[in-house]
Amino acid sequence: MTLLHLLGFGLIISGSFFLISRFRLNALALQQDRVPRSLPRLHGLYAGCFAFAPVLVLATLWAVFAPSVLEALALNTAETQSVFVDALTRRQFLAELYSILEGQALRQPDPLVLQAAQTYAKAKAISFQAVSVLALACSIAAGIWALKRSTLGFNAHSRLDRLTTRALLFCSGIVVAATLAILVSLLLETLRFFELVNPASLLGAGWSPQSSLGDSQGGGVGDYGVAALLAGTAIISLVAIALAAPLGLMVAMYLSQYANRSARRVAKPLLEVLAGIPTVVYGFFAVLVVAPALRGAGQGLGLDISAQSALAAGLVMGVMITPYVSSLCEDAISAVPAKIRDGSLALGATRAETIWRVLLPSALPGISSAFLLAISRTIGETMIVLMAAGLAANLTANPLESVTTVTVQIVQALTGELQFDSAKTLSAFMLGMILFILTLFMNITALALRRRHQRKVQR
Amino acid sequence: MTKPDMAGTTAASSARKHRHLKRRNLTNAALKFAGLSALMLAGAITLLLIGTIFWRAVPAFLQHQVKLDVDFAQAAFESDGAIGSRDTMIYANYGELIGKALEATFVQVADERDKQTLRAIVSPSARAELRDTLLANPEWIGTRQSVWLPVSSRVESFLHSSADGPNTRSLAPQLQQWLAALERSDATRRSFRLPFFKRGDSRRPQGAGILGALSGSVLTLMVTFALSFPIGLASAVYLEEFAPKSRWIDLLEVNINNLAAVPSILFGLLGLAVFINVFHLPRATPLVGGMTLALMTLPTIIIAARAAIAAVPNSLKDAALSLGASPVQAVFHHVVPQAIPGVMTGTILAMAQALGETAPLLMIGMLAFIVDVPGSVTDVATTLPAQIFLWAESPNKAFSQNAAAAITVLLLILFLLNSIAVYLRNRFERPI
Repeated sequence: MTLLHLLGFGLIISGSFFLISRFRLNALALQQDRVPRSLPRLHGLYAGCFAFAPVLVLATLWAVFAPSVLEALALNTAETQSVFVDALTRRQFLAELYSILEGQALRQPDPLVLQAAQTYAKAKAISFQAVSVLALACSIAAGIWALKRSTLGFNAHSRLDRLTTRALLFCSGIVVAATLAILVSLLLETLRFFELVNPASLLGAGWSPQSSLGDSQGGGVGDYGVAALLAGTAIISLVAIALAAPLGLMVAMYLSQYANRSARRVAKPLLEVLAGIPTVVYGFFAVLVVAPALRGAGQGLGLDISAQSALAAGLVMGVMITPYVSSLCEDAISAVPAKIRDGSLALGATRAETIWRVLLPSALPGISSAFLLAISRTIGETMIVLMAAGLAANLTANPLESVTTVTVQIVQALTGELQFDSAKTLSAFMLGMILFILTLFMNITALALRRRHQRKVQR
Repeated sequence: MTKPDMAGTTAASSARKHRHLKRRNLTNAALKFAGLSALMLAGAITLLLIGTIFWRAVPAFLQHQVKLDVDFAQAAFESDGAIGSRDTMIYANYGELIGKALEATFVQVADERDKQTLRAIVSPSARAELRDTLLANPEWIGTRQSVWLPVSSRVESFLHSSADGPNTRSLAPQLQQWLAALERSDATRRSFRLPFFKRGDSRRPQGAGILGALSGSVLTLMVTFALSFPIGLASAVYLEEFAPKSRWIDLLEVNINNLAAVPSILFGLLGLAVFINVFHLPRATPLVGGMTLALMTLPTIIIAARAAIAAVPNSLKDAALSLGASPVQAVFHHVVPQAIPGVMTGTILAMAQALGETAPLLMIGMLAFIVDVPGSVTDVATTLPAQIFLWAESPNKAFSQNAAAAITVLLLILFLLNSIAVYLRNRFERPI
């Protein structure tokens, strides 16, 4: 029996309670010759909801908490305790245990681990059976309780309404849960990273995470100086925004102030097409066209442009965010009240003067918020830099050289031979934390800026 | 002040004013021109991007084939006295059949080394194609049939480059002669490469197809949709219709807006840390990929759904309430059905975003060489963008062409999804 089976049984039980309650109420109404306060269907739904709720709650709780409880149980024997000298060996032990459970053990397993795995599997089966029985019993009990409550005078309708509203609130909570989950998981893994690596080493110069072997055997943990990664990210972002900001702003200005209806009808879908192209396609384009072209042009000019230059990645990323910038800028410009613009035009200013002296100054907060959001997107962008930028850390300010970025290193740390709990793997989460803080800061600033701007303009 | 003097100043000032005005209008025209050229530049880049990729994809969609008279002699399908059973058809030596057919076409080739070279005309993937053809037509056993078979990748790139212009690819001179002979007898053709849509990934670029990645994408999107659509709609309904005005709800809104701008790769880290490391869900499966992408698309769907719900006139809800419906009834029976087209538009756009997303899927391991076509959400799978990334990273040019072809398919699907969204928006966006 699996979780799905349990949920299926729960559905069957709650379905039967729906039918029982519904027909019971119909029968009651006939018997007493009275009209029930709520429709029999709603009584049925009420009982059904009550019968299903315990199954759902218990199944979720089991899925969330069972792994950690079972782990504690399986490892809590005297022999296994003696093996653990520190937290790291415990996690390696666990990793081996799970690989046995999933049938993916590579070599002959340690008898101790095998025993723990057997304990785990047995405890898992028993506890799941217990939880299932408990859930189904609770489900039946809750259903019967609901049946008892639903008499002819019972207001099932308003009860159901309240249940519905609560379920809706719960769904909105999932978004908060997702944010918290990102934050907590990044935080926990980052702390684990700092157990292995001294936080001060982030200030070092080089970035060279060791190959995932050997850190627990007392080998070097590698160099984790993030300066080179941040510099690489900054260069690529700067190149991108240097292209996208003027281009996007010009397009927005043209579309909102000069273009007639037919030009807009052509331009809008074009920008939407550009915005809808997946980033992996931009990455392919960068490798296929832009990087070789830049290299050729560089040779013509006597410049040595790397095949994985920051310039190529940045330019392509600039093209990628241009529609984003232009649509945000257009929003900002069109949020300026028409009467200000019309007043300027009526006083004899040309359109250009109106744009430079009236529209842009009053839309400036909105436009800077657009640029901030765009920069935050370039920082978090992965596929283009993964394909077009380099892998080796290089602390430089020259966009013609090959640099690497935070996102590229996250992918590098987590693809290929995966070994959890090595400093290299955990460094991905540390970098993720940096990325999260950076982008969150920019997004909050940008959104606050935009909000204040909108409020000011509307007044 | 005398009259002529005054007239002089007026004329001078008017001339100055005229020059001034001219300059102002010129500036205006210049700005307009700059805006237009920015737009043109964006358009040109779009065309260049799509054009180069489509051009690159052509050789992957088309392949050269040669016509061979293959003798499906009964002896080749005989084992333990049974002729033409399914097993004998599956395990027959098709390489030998093809080799014999080639030797029959070029009887003048006698040298053993030359015979080996001759066999290099036809692609190794032709064996599987021949087997599939025969399995579909078992009555061919014991007969002689003309079959079109794909040429090998070396011959393919030779023919392709010779069609493009000056031939730079080198190919053994005998092979070039034999190919010329085949061309003279109309035994070569260029046709659409259907197997590209019927196969999973392969080590050989010619045998590789996108079916595996495509089904992986479809399964992943199904999981994403099943999770994010109901949850997103429910959150939007709550926030727009039931939420009390409070500081917590404000915080929730800020949270949603910020989550929409969180880099997608962080959702991958979340998926890895929570779904795989904590819940121990199977790695690299559409289930985990779909759950990760669902969290990623949730804010987009909520924002779109809220806009759609807010656009439904209040009078509708008021009428329902005044007729005795409860708030929940009024919302679910009247407001939500009116908003559904708008919600669907937002959801389709979010699905398009999820379909093109690669980075979070790399984090949870959906970047792997997978030959089998996944059949369920718990099978190990890859998705179309991840497959494109894998092929694009290969130094082999034929794989890069496959990547371009896969991009073409991906862009067509995205275009289709966007068209559906636009159609829905236009069709149902009517004033009530």
